[in-house]
Amino acid sequence: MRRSPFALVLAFASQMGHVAHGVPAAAVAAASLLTTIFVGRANAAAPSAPEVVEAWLLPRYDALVAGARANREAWQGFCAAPSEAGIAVLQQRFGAVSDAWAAVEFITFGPVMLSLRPDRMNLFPERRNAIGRSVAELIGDPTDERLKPERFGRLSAAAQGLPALERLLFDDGAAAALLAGPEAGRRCAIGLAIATNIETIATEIRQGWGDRKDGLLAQLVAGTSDPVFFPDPTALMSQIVTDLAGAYQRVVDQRLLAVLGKTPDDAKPLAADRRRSGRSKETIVAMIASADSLGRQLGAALDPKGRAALDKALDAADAAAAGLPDDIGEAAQSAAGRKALQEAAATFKAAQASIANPLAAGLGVALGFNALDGD
Amino acid sequence: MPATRRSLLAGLSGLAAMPRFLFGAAHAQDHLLDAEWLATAGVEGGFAPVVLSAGFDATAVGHGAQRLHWVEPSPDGRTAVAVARRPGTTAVLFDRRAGKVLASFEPGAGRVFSGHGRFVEAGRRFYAVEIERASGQGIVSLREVADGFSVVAEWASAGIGPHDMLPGLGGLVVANGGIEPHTPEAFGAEVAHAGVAILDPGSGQTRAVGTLEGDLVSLSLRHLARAEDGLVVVAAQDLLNDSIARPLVYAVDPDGRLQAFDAPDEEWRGFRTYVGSIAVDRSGRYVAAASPRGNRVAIWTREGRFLGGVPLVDGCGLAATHEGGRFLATSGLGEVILIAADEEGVGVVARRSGGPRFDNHAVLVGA
Repeated sequence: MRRSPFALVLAFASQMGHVAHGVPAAAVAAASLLTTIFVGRANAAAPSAPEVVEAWLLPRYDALVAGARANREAWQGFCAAPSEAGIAVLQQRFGAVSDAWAAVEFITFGPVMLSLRPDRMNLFPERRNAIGRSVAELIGDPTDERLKPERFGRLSAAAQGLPALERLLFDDGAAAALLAGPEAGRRCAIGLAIATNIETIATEIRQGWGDRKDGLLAQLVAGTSDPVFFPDPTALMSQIVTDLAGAYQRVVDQRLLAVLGKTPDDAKPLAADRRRSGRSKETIVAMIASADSLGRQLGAALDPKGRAALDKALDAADAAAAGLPDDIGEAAQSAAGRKALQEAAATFKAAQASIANPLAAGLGVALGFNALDGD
Repeated sequence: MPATRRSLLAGLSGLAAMPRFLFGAAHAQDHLLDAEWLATAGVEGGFAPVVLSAGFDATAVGHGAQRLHWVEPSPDGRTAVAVARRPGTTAVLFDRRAGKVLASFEPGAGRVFSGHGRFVEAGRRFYAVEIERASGQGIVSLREVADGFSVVAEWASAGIGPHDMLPGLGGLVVANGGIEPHTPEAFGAEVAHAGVAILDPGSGQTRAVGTLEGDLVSLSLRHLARAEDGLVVVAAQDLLNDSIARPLVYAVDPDGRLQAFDAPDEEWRGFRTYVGSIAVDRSGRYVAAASPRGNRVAIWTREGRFLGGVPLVDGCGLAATHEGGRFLATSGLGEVILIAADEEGVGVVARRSGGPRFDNHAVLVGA
């Protein structure tokens, strides 16, 4: 493993300490001062791509798996004994899984890229009421055949993931229909099938990564290529930084501009992500917070000037996310709300630009771009 | 507005005609470049045309601020034109052997380039695709190369949002993409209003317009490729992300009718609504399409029978090679692969990493 200049300075200082026995105190003090200056000026080495995967990405996938498991368990419990309190638990668990996914949604490399996992986890933006139609069609199906795990994962992505679960929990009258009535049992079975499927997808992604001894992470640590995931393991840092830039673009293009429209008359409040569960702001906050933390980890290797510029842009993004109106769709319809959304979008765009420069430029990695912006 | 010497000079001032700089130890500066393929790429601090050698060494030519897209080799055997994409307004003429920028030109006032253009008449003239900023209406401009790419004629592209075009099917084939997917303007739109227009090359009159009907109207028809024997294919991007598997590759009949290529639903879904480029191999027997969103390149027979695919992360550029049954593919992460196809399947036979951030297209020189 490469050692950071910071670590090397500390090691050097430690060795000096051993040698310093019996030398004049002034010399030790001078050496100590020298060490302080070195440490103060040193930049951390750029973390390697496997280190970023291990330290930043995998804990987030672990959180997603844990949240998905708790969510599935809640559905199992609820279906066995439905109650109003149980609905509240389901809604809370949904929020936790939703935020956990938002924290990694912008990561496109690794096992997530296979088997349409991003679409099956969270088909977004929804078009043509695809999710509503899929859920309604499943409710109307009298058989359980398609709800079996081995079948469910092959259904339309619209039926499989978080947006479908949001419908079952937050649509008008949905909570009541889960508690009682002719569809209650069916709705519960579908909810459990979705929750099981979400846990399966999350687990597949996490297990595919493995650890330092086994799986994709082990391959990366060893520097061996993988014909599907990492034909060139050295390109992984480019993918990480590209995806990081994409996080801000996703928020701006899909979560803000698409809702804002060009004029107040064009506003599309129904296009706000997670509007049914009232999490249109929280989803953005989760994604920005996650992206910012990745940016800061990578930015530790920049020179002080670059690090300061990056930190300023990322701090501003965090603050802009925290200051967003609670209801993005509602805000898009008022002059004051639109101004707030537009200002936040500008701040996120600035954060995206800071990923290109100083971050990518400072790290000396190329930003990929074909998948980001069409044509 | 015709390109004038003034606009040419204005264009040149925006493009630093620096000496070419090298990626890797490719070529000495005093040697002519081995130009097997051409592409465009993001390079340090900007964008540039790129010359690729037979060994996949990439050499950037010049350096500009606008993102370049397609690069069209001239039949003169020496030069090529790289065209900026929306909202870009620059097309760059360069010497692909000497690695030098020679000139640049601009679209008409109030317009942008779509990113594509083609030489015709043995390289004497150049067709550029332009888009009115305000209306989105498309214009095909025919330009005289020897006269500083001055405009000889302009025609309506017979549609909105034109993107790619090529001479073929006895005329000029234009892919009018309509509403471009994955833009804020596309949000909420379910009908792309796309079509493939076939224009008379002499008069610009519209001979035929091929469109998609029914559940396929959400497709934006954006990229074209052709075989020497006349086959023309078009690739699409879907406005809708509704988990419905829609064919994204079509053959274009001389009357404009579109015939869908075949593939399993899972393959179409695997493109994640987006095909970014399409190419026909040297033999005319195989067609390849690339999806940087799906991280995949897939190959069909010319009749539209699906053969298989290979993964390529952020892969989009596609070009024939001088050998039949082979395709070059490039990625936004600087990767180049060589793909082989036969009736049994598809595989990667060579790979090179460490190149520049390749943009969406590549082209074989002398194809």
